[in-house]
Amino acid sequence: MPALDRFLAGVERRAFVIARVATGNADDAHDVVQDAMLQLVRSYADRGEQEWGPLFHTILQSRISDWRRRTKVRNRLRVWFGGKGDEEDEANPLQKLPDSRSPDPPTQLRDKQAMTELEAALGRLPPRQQQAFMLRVWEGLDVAQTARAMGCSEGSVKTHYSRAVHTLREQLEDHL
Amino acid sequence: METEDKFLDAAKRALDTAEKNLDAGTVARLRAARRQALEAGAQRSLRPAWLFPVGALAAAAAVVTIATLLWFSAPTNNISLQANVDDLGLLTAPENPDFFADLEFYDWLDKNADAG
Repeated sequence: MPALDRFLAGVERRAFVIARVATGNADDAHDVVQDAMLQLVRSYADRGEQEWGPLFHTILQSRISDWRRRTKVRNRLRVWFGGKGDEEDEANPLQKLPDSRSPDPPTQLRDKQAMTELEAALGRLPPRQQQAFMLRVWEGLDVAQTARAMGCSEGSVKTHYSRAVHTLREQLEDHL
Repeated sequence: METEDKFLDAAKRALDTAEKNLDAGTVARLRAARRQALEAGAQRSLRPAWLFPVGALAAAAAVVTIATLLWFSAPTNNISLQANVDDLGLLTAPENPDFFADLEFYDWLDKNADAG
């Protein structure tokens, strides 16, 4: 399936960033992205190429929602049984490897700081606001496409998006 | 609105940079996940959707075979049917039934009367 391979290669990195913003950690983000790829390949490989993009958005958002539900239940059980909820993941040693495409150190540091702050602020948003922001601003989906991907009305998308932008601007305008 | 647009552009740039700057380990893991997904899809597509499960086919064939054998092995009783028809003729004839019982004797008598 070379066409599907090309499509997935084109979206996997962006999907990972979206999933990492939503889950707050790389391991869960990888699981979410892998599940989404698997479902697209298993269920929709025979659809037209122009359908893969919107389908993948919908599947990815659905997987993120599933992750949220499981995490909520898991944390509740852990707390109930005297645990502390989700532990922070250990740092992946491969993450320390330098990326050959990175810009000069000061720019890299500034970019990294901006992204760290943006990710932290996005992570604090309610899930639906976060979804609406990422899909509208970064993926460039219009209101109707975003509503389909999120499984909600266009009015809801506008509300979530507007609130997300307002909150993020308050927190980050001077930092980005 | 202009300041909002500037903010959104800056946010988009930060996300674009995050995507470009993913570390080598993450990129390798994503590549592996993609390969696994495509392999799983390829294995699924080797089995055509129209192919019925073998067990169901075998069961259907057995039912048809048994039904056919039962249909063609049902015994036909032509002899008893003919006998019944003959009896009916005898029972409805106007003559005394004893006449028919002695019919062989009268036949013999007829032949020997001509000889004698």
